[in-house]
Amino acid sequence: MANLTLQSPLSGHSRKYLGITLREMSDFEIVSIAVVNGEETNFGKMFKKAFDAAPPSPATFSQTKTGKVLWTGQSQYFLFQDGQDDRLDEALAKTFEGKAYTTLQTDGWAAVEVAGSRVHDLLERFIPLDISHAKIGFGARTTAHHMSVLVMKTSEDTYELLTPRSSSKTFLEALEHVTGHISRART
Amino acid sequence: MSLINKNIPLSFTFDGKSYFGFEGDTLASALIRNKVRLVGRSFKYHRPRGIMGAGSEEPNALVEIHADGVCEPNRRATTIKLFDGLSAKSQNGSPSLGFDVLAINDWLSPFLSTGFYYKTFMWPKAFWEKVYEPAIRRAAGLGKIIQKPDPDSYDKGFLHCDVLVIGGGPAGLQAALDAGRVGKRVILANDDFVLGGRLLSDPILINDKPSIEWAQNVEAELRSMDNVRILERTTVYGAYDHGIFGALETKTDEIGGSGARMVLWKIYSKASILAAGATERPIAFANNDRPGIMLASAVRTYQKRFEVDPGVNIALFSNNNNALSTLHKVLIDARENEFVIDTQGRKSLKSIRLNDGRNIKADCLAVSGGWNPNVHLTCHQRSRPVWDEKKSCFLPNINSLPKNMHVIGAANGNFTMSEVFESVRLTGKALGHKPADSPPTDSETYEVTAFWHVKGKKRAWVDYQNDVTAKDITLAHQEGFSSVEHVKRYTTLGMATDQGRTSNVIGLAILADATGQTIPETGTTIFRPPFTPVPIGAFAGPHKEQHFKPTRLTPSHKYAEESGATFVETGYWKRSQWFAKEGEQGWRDSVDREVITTRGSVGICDVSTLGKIDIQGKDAGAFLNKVYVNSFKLLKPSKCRYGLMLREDGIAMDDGTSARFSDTHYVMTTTTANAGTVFRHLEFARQCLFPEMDVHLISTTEQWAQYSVAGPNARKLLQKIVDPEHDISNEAFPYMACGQVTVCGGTRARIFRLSFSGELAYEIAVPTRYGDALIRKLMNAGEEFGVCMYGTEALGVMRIEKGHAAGNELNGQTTAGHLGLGGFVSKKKDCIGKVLSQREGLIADDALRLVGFVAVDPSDQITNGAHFINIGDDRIATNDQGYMSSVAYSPELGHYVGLGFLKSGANRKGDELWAVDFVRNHHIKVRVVSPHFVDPDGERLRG
Repeated sequence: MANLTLQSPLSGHSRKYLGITLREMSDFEIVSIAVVNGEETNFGKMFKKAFDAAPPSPATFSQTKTGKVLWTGQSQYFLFQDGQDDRLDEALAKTFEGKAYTTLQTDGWAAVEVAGSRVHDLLERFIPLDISHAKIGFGARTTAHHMSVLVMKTSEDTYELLTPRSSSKTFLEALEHVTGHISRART
Repeated sequence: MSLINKNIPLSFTFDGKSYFGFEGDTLASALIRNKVRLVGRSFKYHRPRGIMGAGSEEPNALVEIHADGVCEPNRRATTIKLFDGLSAKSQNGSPSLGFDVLAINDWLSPFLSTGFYYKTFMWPKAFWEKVYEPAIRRAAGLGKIIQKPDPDSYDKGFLHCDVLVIGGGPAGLQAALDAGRVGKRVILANDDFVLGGRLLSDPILINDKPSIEWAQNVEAELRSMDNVRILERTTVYGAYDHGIFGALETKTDEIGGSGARMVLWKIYSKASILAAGATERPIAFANNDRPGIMLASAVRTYQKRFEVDPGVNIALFSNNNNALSTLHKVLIDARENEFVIDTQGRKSLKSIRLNDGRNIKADCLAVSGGWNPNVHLTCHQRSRPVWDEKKSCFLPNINSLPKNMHVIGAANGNFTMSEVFESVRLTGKALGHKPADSPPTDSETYEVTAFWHVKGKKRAWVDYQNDVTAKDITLAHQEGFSSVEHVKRYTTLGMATDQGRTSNVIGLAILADATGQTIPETGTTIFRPPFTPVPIGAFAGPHKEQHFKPTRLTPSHKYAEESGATFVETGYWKRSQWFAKEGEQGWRDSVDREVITTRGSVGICDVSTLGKIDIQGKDAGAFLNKVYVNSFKLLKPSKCRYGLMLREDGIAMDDGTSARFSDTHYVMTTTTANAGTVFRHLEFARQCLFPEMDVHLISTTEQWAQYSVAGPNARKLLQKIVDPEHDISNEAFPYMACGQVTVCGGTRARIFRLSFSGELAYEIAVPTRYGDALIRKLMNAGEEFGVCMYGTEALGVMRIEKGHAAGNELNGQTTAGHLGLGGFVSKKKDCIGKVLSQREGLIADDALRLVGFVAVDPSDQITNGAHFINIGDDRIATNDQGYMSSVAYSPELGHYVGLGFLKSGANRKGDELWAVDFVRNHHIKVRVVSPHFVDPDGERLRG
């Protein structure tokens, strides 16, 4: 029997507005990493060895060679890795040799890249955090239009927004609804 | 330097008549430009009213904006920026503004004094709701709401700054400039569409230049700064905790255009500077509400900013020197004991009568009773303003301002320009803004002599919008209302949409006079948000229609749509309720077929909505022992167990199964409805109750697409899907087994041998990305067995037939004992809720117990919610024996079956009772039976 075909949450949605581009991101995996109590130091060493970077501090993410790692809570991280490997959690569990618990999270989220010169005009009507003045590398969990969202600032005018997959169509509708207001903004 | 662009004429209509104004006009200035004096009718007496102010304090000129068959009522003409095509209508005049039959109320005013309806409409009692109140409401009121959907869009947003400057007058401009120059992130919110505040109406020299030029230079510098943001037409309406302010930005007054009409901002500030200016107050004298009687500052605004004259013969009645710059022909100086004692001209002022007997011809009377600083935002966190005797006004209480708020300019009682700039300088210094030296300005003084009310027999208006007169206030006092809060509510003083901006202090002064107290002894009422009205649509923002709440879709949603599913909302989820087939006459046909097919062969249900929580850690088992009543620590890997969870008060919270995949890894399932609640509960337990445990939680609800495959052919179907190296035979994979497998040639999957339906059943889960593909594979593979999809209705029928408790039974009132699960509660360990579940009332001998019910006459229909009454007892609440919680028609048994809670239910099998349903007026006899209607011994699910 043939393998199952996969489907991205937003079917590869991509759209350009004046000064704003929205694009579904895919082709990566997310694994949640929770450090075993008392193993933070050992985990830190293993993490650095594996990813050539220290685990990120609160409200930030770190770039790795193959993706990035976002701080999601005390001793908890989301690791983003380019490419598809729905057993990445198992591989990472081996990497951390029992010092961390891993859980595949890719399928729980839809990711949208929002970019452009007017990105802050949009996101100030969407995200309650002070992201326009945050540094590149800022990452946090917050809410937008009553939905959970992870925000990562990857350049001065580019953000990655992750939202639960089941409500991602509503999320996208809301994002485009507000984007429509910005692009037709009356001044 | 004109602020009106006469090169851009704008056409508009008022009450259907066409007029022209110019770019830069408000509707009010355009109406004055067109000599329109009468613009509305008053609330109670239907008195003719004209424009009184020039800003957000306006109490009279309330109009409706119309477009596309809808209208927005109660808009102040003074704050509507004129646009081409504006259609405005007056309010509260019937049949027309000029001829209003309800103006008879004015003649009946002796009978309509304050609180008249409390006194008059005492009997007959029933008439109040049916006759009196509807009649009063029809006669009174302002604009009418057209009950159609609001065609406009609104946005909400979040802004952050170091310094929020509230007000774009001279104080606000200079404060923003000082903060901006030192690099602070500044937001300057100005409620007008032009910056400058009083400088637009009272031109003076600043730095030897006209003040408007100064304002425009400051504006240009502010706009050149990246760290400064100017919000035009933005009213900061509320000051909340932690430096958070609510602000309403009006993008346009036009109805039904594209884009957001308004944006409701939540502004997070590190410091705020209130520079909201001051509001001029009128003086109460007889017939002081006639069209043509205006605030002196408004007259100057129309003269200077809008270049229109509100009248030809303008008289000025003032108690202060500030108003003297108003262009006028006659001065009535209250400081010299000159008073206006009456006025003439019903629809337009014609003349005024003075206390010295003179009768003066005047078509406009500019009135100034002094200035009230706009202290409202300083009071939104319960600060009370303090009275300043010399300035005859309330000032902000600097000892109890909202945290990090500073008040400058006229809002702080600094009424001269030199005082204004000095207040800005001192505040800037306090904030470390290195403020510039105060610029030299024209010398000004402000001298006021307190004067509030020209006493007389005729009515003198205090609150124009709610038609409250000085007499009403003194009458309220005579009737025993001496507290200002009581007088406010009895008379409605200050309770209109203008929140008493022009009336409160005069009202207090008149009350103080009546009580023999001073104004500070009389006190003030409490200012609460919003400072000015905020449309409900703006509060709702974009959250309407499809944006009202999120919609969560299951992995099989698209397939379900294609398969004719009817969806039901469960929380935010859309779940398939049933799948109608051609020829089926109603939902029961579909549901019965789905149940019969599942019990007879195989059915598939999307159960992805069930909460799934991965619990990992060395102490995961011990943790589950704490949150479940039964034991999980010793559960063997590759096994599942049913678990019941209690709230701290011992009431059942949720149930579900938890599977153990390894020594340190469990997967808990929760009900769909309680997924979020349970996760929060577990996090609370993990972080606060058992922080020493090595336990880590993460929701995997969305990670896995999970399908229940149920029925005697479930295994055969799944054996076509699960890769052959995984043995799912009964021997290798018995009831309550779980495992990690691959499906469809290598796709990762989890499989659980669980059954909610009572049939041989499995739940198979794959990463959600494969969810759509898997359901299609399963349905294809099941074709040879006549597989069907089944929805929540069939699921409900089968669980009732099987006697499984669900949301109707876990209803926040029941314990493990009530559910018949008392034996589950481990005696060997403690768990959350265990102690309180043993409260006397919950474990009494006659406590409720979940049992089954069938109708004594099988053709009778059992109804949900019916209460049980012993046969022979009266059908009254004191004889209540319990209630029916779940009911379904069982296609397997051919009659209705029910689950319910019955006192001493476990000992009453075979008893007959009345099931009394007063809601449907349907009472039948039922018999108590086991709750397990189908396969009570569980042979099918273990097969």
